[in-house]
Amino acid sequence: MSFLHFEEELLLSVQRPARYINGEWGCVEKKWEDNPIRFCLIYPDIYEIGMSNSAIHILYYLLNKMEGVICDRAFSPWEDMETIISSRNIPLFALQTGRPLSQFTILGFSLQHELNYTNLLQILHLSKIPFFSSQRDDSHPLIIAGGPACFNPEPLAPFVDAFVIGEGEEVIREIIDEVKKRKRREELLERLAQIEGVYVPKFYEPIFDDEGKFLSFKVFPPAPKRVRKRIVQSLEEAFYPECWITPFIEIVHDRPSVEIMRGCTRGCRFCQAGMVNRPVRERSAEKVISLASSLSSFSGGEEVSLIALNPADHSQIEEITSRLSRLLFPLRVGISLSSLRMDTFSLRLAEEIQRVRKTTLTFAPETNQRLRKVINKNISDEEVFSTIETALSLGWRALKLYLMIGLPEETDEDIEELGELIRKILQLGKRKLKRLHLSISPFMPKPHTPFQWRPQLPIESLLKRMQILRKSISDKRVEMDFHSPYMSFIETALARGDRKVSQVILKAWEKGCRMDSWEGKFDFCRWLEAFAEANIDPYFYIEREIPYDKPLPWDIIDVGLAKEFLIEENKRGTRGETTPDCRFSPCVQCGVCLNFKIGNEIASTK
Amino acid sequence: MRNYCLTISKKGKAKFISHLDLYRTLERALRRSFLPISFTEGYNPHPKVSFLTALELGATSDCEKAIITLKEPLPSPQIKERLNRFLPDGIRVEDVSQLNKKEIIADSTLFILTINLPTDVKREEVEEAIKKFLEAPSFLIKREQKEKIKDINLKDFVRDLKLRDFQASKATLELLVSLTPSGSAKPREVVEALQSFLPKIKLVQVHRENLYIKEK
Repeated sequence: MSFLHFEEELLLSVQRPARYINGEWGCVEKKWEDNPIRFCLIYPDIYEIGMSNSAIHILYYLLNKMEGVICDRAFSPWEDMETIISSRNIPLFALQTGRPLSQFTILGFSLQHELNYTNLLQILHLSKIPFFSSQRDDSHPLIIAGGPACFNPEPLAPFVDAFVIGEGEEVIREIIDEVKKRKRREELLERLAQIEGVYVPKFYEPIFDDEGKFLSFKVFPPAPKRVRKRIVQSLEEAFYPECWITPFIEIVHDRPSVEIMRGCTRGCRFCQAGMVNRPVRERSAEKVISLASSLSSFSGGEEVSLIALNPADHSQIEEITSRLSRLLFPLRVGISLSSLRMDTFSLRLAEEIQRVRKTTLTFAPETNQRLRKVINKNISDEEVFSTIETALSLGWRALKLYLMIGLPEETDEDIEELGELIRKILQLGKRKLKRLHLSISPFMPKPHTPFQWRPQLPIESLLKRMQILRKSISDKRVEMDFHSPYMSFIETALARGDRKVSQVILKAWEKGCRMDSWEGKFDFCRWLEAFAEANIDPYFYIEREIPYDKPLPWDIIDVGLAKEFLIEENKRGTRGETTPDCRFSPCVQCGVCLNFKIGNEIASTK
Repeated sequence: MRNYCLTISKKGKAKFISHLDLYRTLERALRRSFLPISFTEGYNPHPKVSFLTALELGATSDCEKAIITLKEPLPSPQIKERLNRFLPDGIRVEDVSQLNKKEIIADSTLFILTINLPTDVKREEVEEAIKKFLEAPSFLIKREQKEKIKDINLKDFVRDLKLRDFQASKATLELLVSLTPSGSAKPREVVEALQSFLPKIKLVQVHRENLYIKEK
């Protein structure tokens, strides 16, 4: 038998067999026998999506650097591979060691969004591991999860032993230290519950009223009353790898990336990442340049990406891009920024870094000018036009814009206005603009944001607004892709769900829901049936305006934000009042700095 | 500017990497190696790399041939050693030779095909099938190409086919095919042709043992 658990030639019958072969440039070879702690990082989607996520690379090297720890990887197999292994009764195995997942000490799931939840169950199923934490014992791996989707862990709470809330670099080490020390599962969970940034659901029992509405938690000692998110004080000191697993096959984001800053204080009211990752912490130009050039020469790829919620906001971004682009030019390595602001400053940066190859420029004007004030995205239409005009004069011919529909306070007229904005952009572009890609998503109220109490627009209304927008733009250069409102419906039900929603996830899985973020795999009807069978009304979680005084299932997670701040921000949104960025204006009293005894860490002022 | 011809082997798990992926892997190894590589001009610059011919997914090879361009001459062993430090397991530079001014192209290639046979099939039967194929004046097959069905005469491309080794239930064949601008015969197609004379055989592995080049 080869590295696989079946005849090698079967691998030629699946799509892109290199997904399953391991051995990419950058893999760490450690021995199973020599390392008592066996950790498997799992991204519950296919290889090409999972390997595009930088957290997988960072944690992979961080864990493999630890003594006594071996870290392997696993992804959701595509259905062709799944058929091969399940028809032969082969459990799902990790890429590198080829070991069944059930043999690992810890399985660590990276959860980026709600539509991966059924994949998590499917991975446990393929590994023959019981779904419920309460059904597992010392013979099973410890199952932990982290990532942005864990800021409301409740819908997955029965399935996961411990959630990492917030930034993982330090807390993962502490978890492993506890695992090293303790053999018994019961005792271990007790210890884990006492680590800052770890939520162990077992110690939190949700209480519901007679109508089944969430009331509060009964907390069992020694777990804390609320779980504070974990935060890395200084990004400069935080671990970052100088190697990168470089896949053979082309993946979605096929390049190493350097996280240049964490957090964003621009304060967009819909944006969960901007709220839960406060405050701003920058990596110094020196460090960024050194990491980027190491990663670039290690990977040998044609691009390095500088990532942040808003990379152009980095106080030393000009220095970083100009020095780095000079360093990387001889090997024709390009730099990309994960997103751009709509201003000429950002364009100058784009010019600088795209000297090697000019790609599509992407901006996020989100909506029309009136609603931009509601969501606190403070750019005017004039800025939008002048940015695009400059981009075209600098030679860009393809643009991509991110837009949202169904925002709070939005009316059909706003969509008409948005259509007009797009038409003006097209006029402005005359012959120069060859392609305008519009990526349009429904607004989804997310936990821990000022809009967390807002209802999501019903599917029919979203479809209607999509139609209005579609009709108002008839230009061959425009390509529109709409994120499915049906998917958004389910996403919000899971994002704002309480522990009862776990039954829906289980039912949906039983009905065969998998790969829910894939168009063509997502099955809305099955999900609705799952809600019906679990006797849970999805509209309750999605289309209801939640009163401020109602307890929220994710209140158990303390991200440092004061509820008064979120309420005030939501009210200001209604009034169309903007709130400034605390890096450039006085403190907006969001609560995070006070709570964590920390402040924005700006590299240029150090 | 100097051109070098690299002979690259692709073995083990690397057989699951497509031709395009092998190309990208070499391109990356070139950047990692800090060899004085030259780049294509224009909109989307890449290291100058071209393969003489592609290999199908699943096949192994002793000699994929790629031409690279360096800005300054370097001793061949040094190029080989530098590149091999930066290639993942399964992919190795076996040989580097400096090219003169003349352009080279692929002429023909020798494949070793491993086939499975039922245990009752005798050596003579395999030889007979090969003989029938070789003696046929033409052998037409249908090949799907870009949603069109094209007629191909395999005999236009097959220069030689012979039995190299025979064991119970397993045989290896040597297949020599021309590589021309108008195409070639694929190992799978040739085995399918043999199946019309000896239906029970099954192709299990394709290996490129040699790739012959000529001056353009």
